[in-house]
Amino acid sequence: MMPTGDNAGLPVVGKRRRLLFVTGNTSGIEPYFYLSAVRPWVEGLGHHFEVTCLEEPDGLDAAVERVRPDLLLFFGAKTRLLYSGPVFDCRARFGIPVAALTLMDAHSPAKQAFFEHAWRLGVEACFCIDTGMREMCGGFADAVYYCPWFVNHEITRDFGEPKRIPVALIGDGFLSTGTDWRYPWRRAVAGKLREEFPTFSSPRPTSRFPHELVGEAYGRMLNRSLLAFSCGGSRHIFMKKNLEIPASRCCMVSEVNAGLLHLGFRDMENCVFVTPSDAVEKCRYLLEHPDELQALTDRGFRFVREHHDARNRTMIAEWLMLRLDLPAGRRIVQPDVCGPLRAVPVDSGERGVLLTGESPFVSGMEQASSRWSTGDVSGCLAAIEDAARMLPLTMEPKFLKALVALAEGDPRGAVDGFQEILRLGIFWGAERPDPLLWGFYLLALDRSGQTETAARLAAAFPDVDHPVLRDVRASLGAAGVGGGPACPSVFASPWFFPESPEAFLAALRATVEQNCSGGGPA
Amino acid sequence: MEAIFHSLVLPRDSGRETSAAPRALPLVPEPLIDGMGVLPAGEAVRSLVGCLLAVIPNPAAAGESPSLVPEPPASPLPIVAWLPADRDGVVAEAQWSAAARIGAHAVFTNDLSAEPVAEVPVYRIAAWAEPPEPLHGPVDPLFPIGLVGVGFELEGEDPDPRFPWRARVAAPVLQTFPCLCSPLTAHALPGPSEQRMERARCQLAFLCGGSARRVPPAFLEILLDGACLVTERSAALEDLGFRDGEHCIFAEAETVVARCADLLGSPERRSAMRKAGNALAKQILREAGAGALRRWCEAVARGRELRQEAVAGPLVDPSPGGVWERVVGWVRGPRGTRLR
Repeated sequence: MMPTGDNAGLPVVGKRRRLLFVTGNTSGIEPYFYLSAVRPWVEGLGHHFEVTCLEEPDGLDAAVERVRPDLLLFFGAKTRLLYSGPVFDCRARFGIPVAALTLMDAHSPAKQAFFEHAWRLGVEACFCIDTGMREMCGGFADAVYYCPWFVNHEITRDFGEPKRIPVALIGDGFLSTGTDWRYPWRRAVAGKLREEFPTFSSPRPTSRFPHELVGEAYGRMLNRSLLAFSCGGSRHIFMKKNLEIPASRCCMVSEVNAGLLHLGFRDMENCVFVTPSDAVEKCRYLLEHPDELQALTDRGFRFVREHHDARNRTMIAEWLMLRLDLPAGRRIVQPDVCGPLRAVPVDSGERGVLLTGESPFVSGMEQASSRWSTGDVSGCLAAIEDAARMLPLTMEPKFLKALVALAEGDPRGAVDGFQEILRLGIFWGAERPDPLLWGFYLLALDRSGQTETAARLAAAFPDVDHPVLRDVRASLGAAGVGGGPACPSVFASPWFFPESPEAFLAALRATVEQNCSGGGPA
Repeated sequence: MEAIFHSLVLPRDSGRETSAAPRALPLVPEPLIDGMGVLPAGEAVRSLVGCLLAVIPNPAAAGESPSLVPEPPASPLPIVAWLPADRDGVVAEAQWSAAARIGAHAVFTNDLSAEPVAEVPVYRIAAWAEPPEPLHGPVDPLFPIGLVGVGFELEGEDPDPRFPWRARVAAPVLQTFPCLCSPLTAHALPGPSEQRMERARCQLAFLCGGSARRVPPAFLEILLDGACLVTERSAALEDLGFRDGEHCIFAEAETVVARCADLLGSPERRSAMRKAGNALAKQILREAGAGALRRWCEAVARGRELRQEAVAGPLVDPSPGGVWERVVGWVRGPRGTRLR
C-alpha cells in the first residue's frame, strides 16, 4: 500500500522519543559508502527521534544512564554490527527495547555473524534495507522489518546539469561477458544498449580501483543523464540506486520486480520497466520523444521526493510505538514495505511481506530444494550450482550442497562443505557457530568416521543451543551441554528443511538405520 | 569529384614572380607543397624541377562515387598523385586505381598504413588539408575514460574484426572504470556531438588504428584537445614519435587496467603526458611532410631516388649510386615506369 499525497501515512508521534544510536566505530567504512549510505541514516533518524550517537565501544552503560533512551539501536553497515564493546543482553540489563539497523545484503557471508552478534546483544527487531532479508535469514525472519533506502538530498537532487548522456549504466554487472552473474538482467541488456546508444558506465568503486564519481559527483552524473538503468540484482531487492536515479531528475529504467511495485513504481508513470528484448526499443522511443521523457522524468522525481524521503521511513518509530504498548501474546508484523506495522496475536499465521520469491536466486534455491525432495539429486545439484554462480560467497547454496552430501551418503563431502561455511563465518566475524550448521557439522564428522573429534567439539560453545544440536550432542555423549534458550538459526529455512530441522534429522537417522539393518552402506 | 592537376615548380624556376609563394590548393596539405609555386593554368613550364600534381579526392570523404580521372595534360613534368585519406585514415581502392590510370610516378598520401604499390614509391606524410586545430575554449573533462567509436561495445561476444584491440581492452576497462562508451550511432550525445567532442570530454581517450594500424587525424586531435591517449602500440605511431608513458599509453588487455589506474590516480602524470602529447601533436603538424614534394622534385631532377625509412618520416637520399632509373627516364624521353 502506497501512501498518497505529501508524506501521507506518516504516524502521528506525540513526542519524539529518545534514541541511543550505537553506531560503533565507522572510521573503517569506505568514505564513499559512508557519505552515500551511512550518514543519511544518522541524519534521517533525526526526523523521528532525538538521536544520540555512540561510537565508543566502552561507554554503553554510561550512555544509557545519561541519555535514558526509549530505544537502543545498534548499527551495522555491510557486515556485522559495528559495536565492539562487551556483549550482553541489553534488553535484560537496561529494560528498554533493543533493535538493530543493518545496511547489509542478505546474501552477504557476514549475515550469520550479524545475527549471532545481534542475538547475544538482546536485539528484538532488525531493520534491514535489503528487502529480501526475510527469505534469507531462517529463524530470524519474524524479527526482520524492512526500512528501505530513502532519498539522499545531499548527493541526489536536480543540480541543473545539462542533459549530456543518453544512457547511464551505473554500478557493477553491466557486462555481457565475464564471470559476474550477480546481475543477470544487467548482463542481458548491456551489450545491446552499448551497441545502440552512447552510454556512460560506472562500476562501483573499490579500494583497489577507487574513482571520483562518488557523492555529489555521482549525483551530478546521474543528473546529466537522460536514462539510467538499475535493477534488483539476482535477488530482486530494492536498491539505493532505484531512488538515486529519479531523485537526480533522471528517468529510471529497470526490470520489473515485486519490490519496486510494492514501493509504488509504475511503468511509464514514474519509471520505465523493460525486458532485455524491448529495452532498446523503449529507450529509443523515449529518446526520440524528449517531451514525453521529460514529463516521465519529472513525475519520477516528484514521486520519490514525496514518498521516499527520510521522513517516510517511519518503520522504526512505528515499531517502537507498538512495542512500548505491546500486550502479552501479541507480536508486531510488517504486512507491506510501506504500509503501517501492526500487532497481531502471537499464534497468528500472519507474517511479514515477502518480495523476492520470483527472483532468479530465490527461485533457483526453491528449485534445488524441490528437486531434492522429489529425489532428483543431480537436478538439485545443478540448480545449486546455478544459484552459487549468481552469488558465489553466499552461504545458502553451500549449506544445501553440504546437506545433500550428508543425506546422500557423502559425509566427507558434507564435512568439507560445512567447514567452508564455518570458516566464512569466522572470517566475517562470527564468534559462535550457527546452531544448525554446528549440529549437522558434528553429525557429518561422526558419519565420516571422525567420532572422537565430533565428541570433543560437541562440548564446545555451550551457549549455542537448538533442539537439533541438543539431539546431536546427546548422540555424541554431550547431553548436558547447552540447555539455554534455543538460538535461532539462519539456516532454518524450508529450502533446507521442508518440514522442520528436527523432522529432517529424524528422517536422516531413519535412513541410516534402514541402510544399516539392510546391510548396505549409509 | 574529379581529379585535378596542378603544375608545381620551384619558385625560382617559375615564369612569374607572383607565383613564388605557395598557394593553398584544395585538398592538398600546405606542408606538402611548401617551397613550391603553382603555375597558373596555361602557363608554359620552363623548368624541369617540379611535378604535375594530381589530386585524387577520396570518394568516401567527398560522399560521392569514385573519382573521375581525366587524361593528364601534356607536361614535361613527372606526375605525382596526392591521395588524401578519409577521416578514418584510409585511402580508397578507387584512388589507387585512379593513380595507376594516370601513370603516376610517385604517390604521396596521408594514409599512414599505405603500403608501396607495384614499383612506384609511396610516401606517407602526417599532413592534412584541413589539419586539426585545438578546440575553441576549454572542454570540461566529464568522464574519466572515453571509448568512442565502433568496436568497444561488443565486449568480446562478437568482436568487430576491424578493431581487435578495442574488443580486447573494452571488457576489463568497462568493468573497472567509469567510461563513456559511444558507438556513434544516430543517438549521439546531445549538444556538440561529434566524436572529437566526446573524446575531448574524457581524461583518457582510447583509440586505435584497427587491424591495419591506421593513423587517422583523431590521434592528433586527442593530444591537441588535452586528453591522454591510450592506444595500441604500432610502428606507425612510434615512427611519428609517440613514446609509451611520455606522450601516450601503449596498453594491452593484460596491462590496460593497471596503466589506466596509475594515470587516473596521478594528476601530475596526466598533466605531464597531456603537455608532452600536445607538444608532439603540434610538432607533427608543423614538421611532418614539410617540403617533402620539393625535395622529391629536386632529387628526381638530379637523378636521385628519395626513400622514406619510417612511417611519416623524412624523405632521405640513400647512399650514393641509388639512381632511380625508372623515374628519371621521363627526362630522357618517354615517361618511365608508372603506377600500373
